Amino acid sequence: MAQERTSWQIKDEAILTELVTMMEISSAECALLGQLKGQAEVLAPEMTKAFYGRLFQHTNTAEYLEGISMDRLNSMLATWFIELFNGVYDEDYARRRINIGRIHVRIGLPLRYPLAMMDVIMVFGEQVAHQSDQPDVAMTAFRKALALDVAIFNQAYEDNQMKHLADLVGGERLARLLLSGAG
Amino acid sequence: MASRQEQITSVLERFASNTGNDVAGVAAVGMDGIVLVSRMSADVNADRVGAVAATMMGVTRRVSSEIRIGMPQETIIKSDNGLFMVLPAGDQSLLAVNLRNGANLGLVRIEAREAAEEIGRVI
Repeated sequence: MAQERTSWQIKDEAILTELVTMMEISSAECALLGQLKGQAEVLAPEMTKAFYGRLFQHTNTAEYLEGISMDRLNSMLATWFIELFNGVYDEDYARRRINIGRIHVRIGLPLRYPLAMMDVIMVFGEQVAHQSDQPDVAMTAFRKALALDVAIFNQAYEDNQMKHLADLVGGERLARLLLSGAG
Repeated sequence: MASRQEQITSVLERFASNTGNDVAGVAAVGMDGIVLVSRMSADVNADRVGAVAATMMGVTRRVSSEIRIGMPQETIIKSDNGLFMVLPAGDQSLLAVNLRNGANLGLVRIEAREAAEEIGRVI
């Protein structure tokens, strides 16, 4: 039987706190990323164009964009990207980001798509970081911020799946045992 | 005073004795899928059976709730080579019974219900 893990006991807001703590983004790194917000704003339109260009090229992702205002999507994505260089990565930040993940869950978008699109985010994020007067440090800091976002995004999906499975089988502990192969 | 484990073991052994060859294995399982006591045969992975039995109970409760027919009293799977029965043993546990093909289901159901009630009282 799979061993019960302490991480299973961490719930809701405490998960966000744990992730923020785990990334160990120092105050110097926060400040450095915050200084790059202007550069992120400049690159955001080009990034959104590349981002949605990729999604429209792929039939399975393009169908999620049918009938939706691209102005609105471009604006939301640009805001999301610029906020990567917010300079503050606390629970409020994580809460805003997980809400975006939950929207993706609600529209039924498979997780592989937003994760794959991190490829585009990385390219443009690294371009922003490269403009820092300490590019290596900024790059490291950017990767931490992006990793935090990936983890939060995953969490939105896992929360949803776990809730449904736990409801179905009668409890979260049983659901976790089943997922870990005990069943 | 016998421990909880010993009391459950005693209930399962009495159940197995009363049902004879009809029962191939029996286990008391927590609703979270953790096996409390198992008397399953060696060729069966009791931990896995515990997890799927608890899943069966959870899904059965969900179905019963959705169609508003109250709390389930038992769930029985009849397969080509045997039967598998799960019934609640109090609020926190269940009794999982593996029956051989051709088993006297009426007798086993009566004995299983009594055993489940006893386990429910112990837990």
